[in-house]
Amino acid sequence: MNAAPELGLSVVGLTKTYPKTFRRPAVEAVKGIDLEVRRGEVVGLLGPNGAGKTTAIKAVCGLLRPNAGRIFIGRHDLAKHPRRALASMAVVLEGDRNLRFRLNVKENITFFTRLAGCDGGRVRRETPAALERFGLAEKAKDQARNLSKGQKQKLSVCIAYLTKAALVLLDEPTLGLDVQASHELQAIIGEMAAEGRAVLLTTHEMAVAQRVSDRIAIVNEGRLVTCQPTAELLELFRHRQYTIRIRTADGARPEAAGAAADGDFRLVGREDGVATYELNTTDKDRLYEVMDLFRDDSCEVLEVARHQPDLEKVFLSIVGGQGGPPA
Amino acid sequence: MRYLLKILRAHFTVEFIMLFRYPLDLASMYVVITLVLAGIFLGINAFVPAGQLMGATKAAIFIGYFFWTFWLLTVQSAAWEITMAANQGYLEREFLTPAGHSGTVVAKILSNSVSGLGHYLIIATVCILLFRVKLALDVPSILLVFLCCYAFLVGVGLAFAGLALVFKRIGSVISIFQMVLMVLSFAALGKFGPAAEEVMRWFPYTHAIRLLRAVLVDGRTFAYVLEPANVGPLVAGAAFFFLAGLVVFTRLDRVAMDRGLIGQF
Repeated sequence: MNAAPELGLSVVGLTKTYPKTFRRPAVEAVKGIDLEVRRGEVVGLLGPNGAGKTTAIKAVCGLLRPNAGRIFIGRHDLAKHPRRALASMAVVLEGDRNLRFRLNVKENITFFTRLAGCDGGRVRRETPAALERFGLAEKAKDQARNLSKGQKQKLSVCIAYLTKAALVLLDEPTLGLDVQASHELQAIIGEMAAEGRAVLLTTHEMAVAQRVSDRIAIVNEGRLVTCQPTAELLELFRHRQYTIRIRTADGARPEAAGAAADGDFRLVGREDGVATYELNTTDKDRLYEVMDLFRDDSCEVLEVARHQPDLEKVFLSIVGGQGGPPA
Repeated sequence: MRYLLKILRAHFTVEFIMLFRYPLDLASMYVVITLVLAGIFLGINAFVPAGQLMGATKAAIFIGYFFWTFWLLTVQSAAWEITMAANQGYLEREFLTPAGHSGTVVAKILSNSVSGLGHYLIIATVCILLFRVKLALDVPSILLVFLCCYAFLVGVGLAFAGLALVFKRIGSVISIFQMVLMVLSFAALGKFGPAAEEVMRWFPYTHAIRLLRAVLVDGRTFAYVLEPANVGPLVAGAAFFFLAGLVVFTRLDRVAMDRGLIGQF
């Protein structure tokens, strides 16, 4: 089997169980994940802690041996041609693990691009422009340990950028960065995709994922729950959240509220005879059903507001036990 | 091979940079090695009565000490480098190379030991001249014996690096091995009888020391080293231990990859 050439990454049936040890039983971390990242797109891989994201990423990097499944980096099968596969991939791991702190910025670039097997001449030629682009030109001779967290992260991404790899894996690249540094990195991530690279991004920052990802993949309990274009995923949840404000003649709790209470409908505030309810539903007709109940109860509906869902709410809905997006 | 050469160059460059980035550490290292060698040579002068094969004793001890230090530079630093890289967090990142995990460890061992050996040879040369140790420098013999011993040490270094990947803290294990090698470096193994000598012939470390003493102290030639009884066990032992070390590392690396232990400290 060969992956399609436009694919930067193709993962088929990835399964990983950590073997039993003296201290703990066997742990089934990843249970048959299928995932594709096309060249020119950013896929955000989300999931709660312990969902299997890091295990999946480490398997894609070749740092973990999966029990089953196949991983293609570009056209190269990681298990059969690890050298070619690894030469087509750049990785920025989470935290302070991507740099040699006693080396300066330029030395780090030289060291890690050589490890990646890059053409030294090309890297030397392109380094000044890249340092300028990443705002590190003035820090070129500073040791990595003296850089700020944002600058360290930019340097790590700059190295990945200079490798020209077809696939870029970014594990929590904006974690702990200030707003400006985070936005600059997000812009760079977008540029890398625009250059035709496939970018797989893991993050806990939903706003970042929502802004930069073309598609969102959500992993929970070792399984891929959903993988859809970001806009479509948000749209699926758009009709589901409403805030309804009503007034009753005497300010008492309307009977309709009791009748409508079905786990998806709750009172969130009451003031001066005005009650505010929140409706979370998977059923499009449910809103009209609730409205009918209020009308029957002679309540005055003051406002019905449809919420603009954000990825955080979508994520919480998906991993919070509902299993997946609505059909 | 292309990737291996690139990461070798990367690691050698880092060694070179780090060497001059900390001049005080470099100077201190020179002082320590000089003091140790001076201690050995002056000690022999003070305690061994004149006329009792002084030059030969000094040279023999120097060779033993040289090999023992070389062991420290090669094997211990391999495990130490892996432990430190895992501890500081950049091991996973360094392993992400098309040259593979074993290629990375070999590059680390080579860059570390060659750099250390360079310093050591400079100081040793000065001490040899200062303390008038007479050595017969037959370059082809020295190179052949040295390279075989080096292959053995890289093999053992790979095995220890594999152990460090899985068990993380293996300092005490290395210390035990270090003590054994200290005995093998300095003890007169010939006194344990021909059977012990025959066994040690297949152990490249002791065999190399014996051959190097024969060349440097007794003035034996390259032809002596090339005698099948000498070169055969040396090359076979070196190849065996290098390949065994590679196999052990590969297996332990696989265990570490199965259990998710790479980079975890």
